[in-house]
Amino acid sequence: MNRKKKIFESNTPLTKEEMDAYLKGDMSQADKYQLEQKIAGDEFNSDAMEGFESTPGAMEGFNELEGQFHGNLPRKVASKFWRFEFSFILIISIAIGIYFIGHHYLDQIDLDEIKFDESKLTTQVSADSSSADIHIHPIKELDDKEIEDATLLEESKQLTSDRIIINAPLIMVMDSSINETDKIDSAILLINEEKEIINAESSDKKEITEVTTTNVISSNIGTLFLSRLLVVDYTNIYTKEITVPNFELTGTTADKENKSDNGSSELAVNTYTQKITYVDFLQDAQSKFRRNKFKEALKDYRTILNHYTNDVNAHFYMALCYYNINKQKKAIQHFDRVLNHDFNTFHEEAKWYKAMSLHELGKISKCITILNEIATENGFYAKKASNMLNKI
Amino acid sequence: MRKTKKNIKQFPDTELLIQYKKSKNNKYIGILFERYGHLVYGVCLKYLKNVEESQDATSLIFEKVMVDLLRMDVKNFKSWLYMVSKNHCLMQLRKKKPDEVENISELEYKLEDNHDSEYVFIKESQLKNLEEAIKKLKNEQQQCIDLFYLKEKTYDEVAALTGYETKKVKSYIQNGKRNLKIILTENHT
Repeated sequence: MNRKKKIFESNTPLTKEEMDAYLKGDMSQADKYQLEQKIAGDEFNSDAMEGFESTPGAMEGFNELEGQFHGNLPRKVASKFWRFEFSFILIISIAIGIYFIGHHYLDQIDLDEIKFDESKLTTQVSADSSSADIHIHPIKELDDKEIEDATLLEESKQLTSDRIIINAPLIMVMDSSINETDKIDSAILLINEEKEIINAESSDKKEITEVTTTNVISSNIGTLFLSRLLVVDYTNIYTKEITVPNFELTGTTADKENKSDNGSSELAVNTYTQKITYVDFLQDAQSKFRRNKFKEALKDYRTILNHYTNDVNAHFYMALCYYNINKQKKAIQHFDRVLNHDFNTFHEEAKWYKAMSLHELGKISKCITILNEIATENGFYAKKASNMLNKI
Repeated sequence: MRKTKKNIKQFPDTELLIQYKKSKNNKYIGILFERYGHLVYGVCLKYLKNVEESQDATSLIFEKVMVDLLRMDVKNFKSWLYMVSKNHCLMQLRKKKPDEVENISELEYKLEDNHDSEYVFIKESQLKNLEEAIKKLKNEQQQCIDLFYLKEKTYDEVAALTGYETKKVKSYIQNGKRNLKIILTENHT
């Protein structure tokens, strides 16, 4: 009777390790049988195993996915997991450092020219700083052709979804299997490497006074993650659907075609409009952003802003897209909108990335001003800003 | 601190759901992901047959789970998650290739319900009729159920003994189990 009972026994979920061992055929006959009972006893187990069996090597894909989650812990718990996230941040810092060394000649740029440009920029920024002005002077976006013609920033410089810190986690706890000591060791190694880079730089460094308290105010607005990217939750605010044009091919079937039309009854394009909810539309845009399709995503954000001019999500991610297609002035305009927005969810990021845009434009003194602000605010990017200042 | 974390990891699903609803702290979802993430990904692989799409789908499913669990009363998380995953994949397929999704009726699951078809409880008294019920199964199903459950043979061994492909063996066992449940519950009522 016991064996018969097994037929209807409820089974526990297969662990990743069990699946891995089974797929590798790395187990005794008895263990194999035990595991197969678990597979046969549960549809979830059996479907999952079937998926892995039909896609050899797919476990790697899951490890990647897991790694992404672990590598992108949220800022809220960053203090707890700082050691783990630190290595990721340092890699970016080092990349920036290397970039700075390579572009040291920027310091030789005619300062008068920079000042001239910046004065124009300052005017622009101050015009954007009033929320009233935001509505009076909408940003003139690039048209489709200009977007398509734009040249992408070289890949190593792009702010892709894997590099930006607001990249959302799904795992909020550390996997116990990850060796903490290894992570700390690698972080220390990276710190040392970074120190060496800093020491190799010129002695023209600016001292940043160490601040112990943060001046950054956190936003209380609800957020959610779309394609693992943080967004402000407008679900209950933006209830009006977004209208987008759609097309379909139409034409007269051969049997009904009037020969006297002399071939005019060929296929035609029928245009109609389609209504999509804000969240669905944004989800699609975020998915494109995640896949580094910045030009396509940018067009979507532009559509969102045509409907919801003050959408902080669209402004922020659009700014990143402009940055990635090397349209830094446009990026700065949108970062400014984010910086002046009532919802300050992306405030720190916008400031930090604006500094990067300014640097990309060669506007070094303006960049330094913002980096100083970031460093003294003692927020999430304070250390990075200090490091960057030391390198400029 | 470490001790607390360990304890949380040992929480049953129901406790994790309660704590998550109460605190909205994502660490509880994190533990559920550790338990089921690979299974969700495996289900996505089965339906979507693409690693990258399955990675994205797994992420989206857990995003949905994070939101839905706050507003829904889920009693059996595992079977609910399975259903959410399967439905998500079928919806994806329907969007992508509407003509190729043969069995859209699979989407008939109601997410608000605590779908529990896998765990239809068979009472002790019903098991007495099991032998009779097995005899009512189709020959292939009978053979495979007998060899796998009663003679404790592995899939490959059953395949070797019967001459069926391993894939077929799995299918006969699954379908046989489903039919047994039907026979036993019908006989009992």
